[in-house]
Amino acid sequence: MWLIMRCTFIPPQIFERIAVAGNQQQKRIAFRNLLASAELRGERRALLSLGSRLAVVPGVKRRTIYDAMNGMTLPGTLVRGEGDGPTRDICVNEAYDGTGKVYDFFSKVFERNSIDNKGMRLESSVHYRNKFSNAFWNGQQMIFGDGDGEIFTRFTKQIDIIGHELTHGVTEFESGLRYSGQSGALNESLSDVFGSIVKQYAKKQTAKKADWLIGAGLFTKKIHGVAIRSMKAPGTAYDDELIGKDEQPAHMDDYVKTADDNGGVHINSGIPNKAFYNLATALGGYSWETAGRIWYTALTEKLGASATFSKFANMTFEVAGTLYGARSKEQKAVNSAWSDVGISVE
Amino acid sequence: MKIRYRRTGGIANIKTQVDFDSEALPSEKLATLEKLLRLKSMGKSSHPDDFIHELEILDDPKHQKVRFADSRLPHDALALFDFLTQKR
Repeated sequence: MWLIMRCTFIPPQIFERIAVAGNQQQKRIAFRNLLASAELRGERRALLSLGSRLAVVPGVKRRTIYDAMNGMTLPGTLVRGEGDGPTRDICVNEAYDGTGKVYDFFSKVFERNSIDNKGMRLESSVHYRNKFSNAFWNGQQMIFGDGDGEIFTRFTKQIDIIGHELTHGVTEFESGLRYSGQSGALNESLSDVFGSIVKQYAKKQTAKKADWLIGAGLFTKKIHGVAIRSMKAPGTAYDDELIGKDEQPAHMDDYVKTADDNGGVHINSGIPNKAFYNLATALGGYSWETAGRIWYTALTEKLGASATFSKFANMTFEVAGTLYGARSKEQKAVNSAWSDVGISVE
Repeated sequence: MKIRYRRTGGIANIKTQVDFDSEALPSEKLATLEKLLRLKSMGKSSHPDDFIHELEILDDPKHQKVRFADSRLPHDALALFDFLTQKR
């Protein structure tokens, strides 16, 4: 009776999403709700459709690593495919192992079948250009530079950097968040959040034990800084004579309006980053189990390409209520996490 | 021309800025610069974490600016920007 009553208040698409993305208990509850609701409406066809989506098709991990040989032509020369043994090139092996860990995380924790949830091959090119100090997702593959050796080391070294880039792919396939202004900063934050969680998952760290740094060890020893960003304390990751100071804000009062960096996408991402850190540490335990699930479910809902921080915050509040109950400690913690960074949820 | 070159973005968003006089550039680099300044901005990249390059004419009363996404630039433009940052 309780389950049927819940159906009258919660849109079926929320239950559909939980039936696909929730944990085993949540899936069972969501499916029973959908079953009861559909039977009441006589929608047998809808149930058949859902059943086909719930039938978990085991994903197959397919990694391909190319060597761009310091050129611009992509993807480059194939140097390691799925199941091949390690090569003598540390960048090749790090890209192979790192993409594998990210794939495993999304598969085991969220039952996601690769970046597009349809088994997409994970392609990476290493040694892109000469002393290229960047890593990026180009819509089809990951690209890693070697770093200049002065400011940056190689970009394959950190699992959270690889997780960050692959999450850009997930976001592109799920919500297509526009990469400018506030939606772009949200896009960046989601990549930092799941990049950090991937690292914590690989290290089996609790939220309280995690360092909450993005790209720790990416700077050379010449740079005065611990990482490129801190989710725990945005704005404190580096302060160096050559590269300047980390300018991320941690509160909406300090939101930076700028034309640089696609409207400050890597700057204002500090605000939702801090909100996630607040939630994960308030709840305790492993960040991927509750906080991560709330964020992932909100990301894979119909977020919309131009979503603001406020819209996403409200979605996480709604998802927390759906997954854990209205006025549950999880939902209250989501409210507090956003309130602390100056965003109120309704 | 007095020119300001700036690069923002990239996963780390470490800003780079160089002010220079175009007359000090080698001829092939000057030709590339003039070609870029004639182009319209191509700063909107669909690729997350792409670098954004910006050229600003400082002695132009309108302070004309053009922006380019790294992944959309031809090799000679990237070579110019590498040249400028290595001279820093």
